[in-house]
Amino acid sequence: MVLCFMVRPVAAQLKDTTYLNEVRIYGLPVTTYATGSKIEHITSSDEVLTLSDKLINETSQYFKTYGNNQLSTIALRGTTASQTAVLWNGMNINSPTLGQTDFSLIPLFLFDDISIRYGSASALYGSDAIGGSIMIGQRRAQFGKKFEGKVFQEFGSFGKFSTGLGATYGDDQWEFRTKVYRAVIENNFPYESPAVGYSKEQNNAAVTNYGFDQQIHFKISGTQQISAEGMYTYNFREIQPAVTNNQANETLLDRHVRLSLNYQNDSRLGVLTLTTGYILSDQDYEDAVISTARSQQLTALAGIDKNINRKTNLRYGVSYSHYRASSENYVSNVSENRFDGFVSFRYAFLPYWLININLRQSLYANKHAPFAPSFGTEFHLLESEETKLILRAQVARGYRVPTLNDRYWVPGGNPDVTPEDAIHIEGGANWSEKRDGWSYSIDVAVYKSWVNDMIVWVPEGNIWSPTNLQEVNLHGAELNAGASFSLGKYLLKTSILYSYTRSVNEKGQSQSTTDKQLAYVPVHGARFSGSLLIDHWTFNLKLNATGLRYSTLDNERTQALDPYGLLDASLSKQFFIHRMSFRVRAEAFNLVDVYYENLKNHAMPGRHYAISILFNFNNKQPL
Amino acid sequence: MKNLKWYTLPWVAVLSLTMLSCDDDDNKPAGAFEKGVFVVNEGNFGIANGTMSFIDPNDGTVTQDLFGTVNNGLALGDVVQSMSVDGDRAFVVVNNSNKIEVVNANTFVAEYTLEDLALPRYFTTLNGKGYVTEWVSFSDPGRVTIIDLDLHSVTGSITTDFGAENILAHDDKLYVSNNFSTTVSVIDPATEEVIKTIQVGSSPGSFVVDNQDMIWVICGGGYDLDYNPLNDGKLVRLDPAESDNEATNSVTGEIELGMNVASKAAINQTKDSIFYFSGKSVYAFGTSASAASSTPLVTEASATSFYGIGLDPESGVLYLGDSKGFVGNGTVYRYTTSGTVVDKVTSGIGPSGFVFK
Repeated sequence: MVLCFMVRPVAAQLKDTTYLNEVRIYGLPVTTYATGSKIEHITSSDEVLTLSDKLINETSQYFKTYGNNQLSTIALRGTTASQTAVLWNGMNINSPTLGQTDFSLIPLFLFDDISIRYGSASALYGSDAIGGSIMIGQRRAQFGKKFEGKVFQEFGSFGKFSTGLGATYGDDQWEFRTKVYRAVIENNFPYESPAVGYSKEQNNAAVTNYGFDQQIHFKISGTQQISAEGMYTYNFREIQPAVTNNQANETLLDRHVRLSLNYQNDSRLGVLTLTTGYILSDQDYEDAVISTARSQQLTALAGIDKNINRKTNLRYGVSYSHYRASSENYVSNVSENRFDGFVSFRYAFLPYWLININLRQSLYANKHAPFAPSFGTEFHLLESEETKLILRAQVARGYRVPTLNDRYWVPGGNPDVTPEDAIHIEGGANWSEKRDGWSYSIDVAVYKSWVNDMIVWVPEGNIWSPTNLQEVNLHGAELNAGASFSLGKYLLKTSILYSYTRSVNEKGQSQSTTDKQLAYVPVHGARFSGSLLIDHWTFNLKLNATGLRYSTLDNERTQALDPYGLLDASLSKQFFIHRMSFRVRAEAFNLVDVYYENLKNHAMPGRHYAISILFNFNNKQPL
Repeated sequence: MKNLKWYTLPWVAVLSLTMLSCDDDDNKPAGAFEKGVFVVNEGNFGIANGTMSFIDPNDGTVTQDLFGTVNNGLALGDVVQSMSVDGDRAFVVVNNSNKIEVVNANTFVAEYTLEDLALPRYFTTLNGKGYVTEWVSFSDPGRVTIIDLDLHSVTGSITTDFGAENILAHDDKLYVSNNFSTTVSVIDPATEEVIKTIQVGSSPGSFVVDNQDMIWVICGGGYDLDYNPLNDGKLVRLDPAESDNEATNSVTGEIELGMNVASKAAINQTKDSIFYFSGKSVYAFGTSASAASSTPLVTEASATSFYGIGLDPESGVLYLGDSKGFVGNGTVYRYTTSGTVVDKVTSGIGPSGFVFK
């Protein structure tokens, strides 16, 4: 009924105009040991956008957002915000104090490469990889004399003003990349919430973000390379209040410093990778008085990846992390060491049959996390230029080490709380065909997980304390399908993403919450997308259809959030002059002007607009 | 009308039927909620899902989200703190929305809103004026703000002490417990001044008045720097006859409870037994006794943690609200004053108080 499309960012078409918007699930060379699992690769788009907004658009997963450009946490496959591992250059960057990532604080502009691996995978990614893992990072250096520049500028409704500048320059030995961005929004959008009954203007929701990233890549020799990266991000936001609150004044200031140094050496031993990284997170919450939380993380990783023979790959390694955190709610500064050892083994029984075993043991604060194995297999039944059919299956364990807050928060922190523990099974199929003038791909995934010892904070009198109380069973299915047709100078691309997610509370604090869907997990989530390309014009339509979400664990219908459908449209035109390109784009969001919420009684904007210009310059000449 | 919540319509229909079928008195009722028990459901902080529930005394049926049901889906607001009735008006204090919703006490139809308060807590009326306690902030002393109930406007404020909490109008005086502090402030409403500050104990909260016309205030108890409970909760008896005399001690009795308790209490019909709670245990104290018993009247194994207490002065039934961890609707347990379970009913999120009408 609805025509729709996965709109691949038009900027990507600049570099690869023939690359259609197929659903890329498979075959990342960097995830060799993720055999049997579903992986989505999200291409960055030279746009100033939060990772939250990007993933809401490009996956059918649900984000619990506390308003427009406000705190946004993921419910990947129906799990909690803390049950998705987020890794930057191989390091888990979930807050060690809160145990989760606010995806509105991660600026897409500073990252090139985003991938999502679905399902438990603690054997590969360590703590938190229960619902899945999200890897954010940079594409590899390509070396060679070049200078590339880009400028992005956007104006939008409610005082939105976003700027991004980027440059890549280098020669055969060096490659430098510099990126700077700034994004502000007043966020004074009008809304009419049924809970208020009259039209209001959103108050106290302005946001200012800026940041930069610098990378230096140096090719020591044909087999050795060293890369350094430094990133700083600043985010100041007024905390958007509930629709009923007229005089809110809380604010949140977040600053992150992320540094990493990476060395790779391809030798007889295999590919040796050494990474060391440092992350500093500073947060000031202000509500008449300021409360601060600060954490530091130092990580060192060493691994060897050896191609033993044509059929066999082996990887093994160790990592060490040191955490330090301070907060008014800790008795003193908290510090902790974590050690991990891991082994991965991949073997091709037959050219079309792969198996993969991963193992990990982690120690934290002199305790051991659950031993985490995983097993995956793939059958490449058909594999040619035109047709691909792959069946896959995996079984894995996932765990989550309790956060520093869980253990050290005063009052209530419980040092005896143990890691959350999950078992996950999954199967899937990926089928794609390419013919003259048309192509399609279909990916199906079905999964089930049993999550035990989930940590819940329970009140005892005035004091809340965490316990390993909850058990949740997850099961669900996902469909990703895309198709494209070209006829003369017309190209039509469509895609559909659909998630069915049952996240069932098996054991909780009371009878009234057992057998109930977890709060803020829609059973149904879908994205339809379509684009029509004619010459250098592109017209896009998108629909985000999100099902009913309960806001309480007893699934009280009167407290639930209504389903919504958001229709967006955009029109863009590209111009090419020499080695320069310009893209001018006009976008309209929430065309039907639907009032909707992603957190109970927190308004989201109605119809709004944006205009942007993207300029790219590419000259593979010496500087 | 895309925002109209369709599911409110059946509720309205059910309500109208209830009104018709219950109308067996000769006197036409002033409203469907003229008589019964109101449950204050705090809701989750920041989410504005606090509600009022109404328990019909005749058949025990519960109307959830009374305000929303009657007023076309409107939300009461963020952290519904308390409700106070004065004649045909009910004043619902909404803490984190910094307002008081004034409704018709019999129909619950919204009448007007008193806004721009500063973390308001409890409300009372005396001689035609409204008085609301306000925390103001966590770093400023609390106060009592005076409201002209005809003009619906603020006419003044009286600063008390940190965390101005419960307020009792008694013999033309106002008594305010300052919950972040250890004091009770006595206010003369004629001069709008604090005339006496009484040291009582850590975290003072609810007041009850006994059959000797003595005022009791419950003090929840304090915590050390590591938040370990000091187990110094107590019931303190104040003699209102001493309120005018700044030099004398108003405290005529202190009952150590031997633990930290919630700063909430209720008194029985004969006004000689005070009920309070800690965790999921309820305790009773006879006002003529010299010490509190450490044996609970009842411990509710199926509860998570009690959050509110009330006693129906008409039926003598004791009400306890269990927040059940605030992850969904709470439960209200009903007991006789000897601790026998009567029944339990579902409330909204975080049942924290009861109003009997």
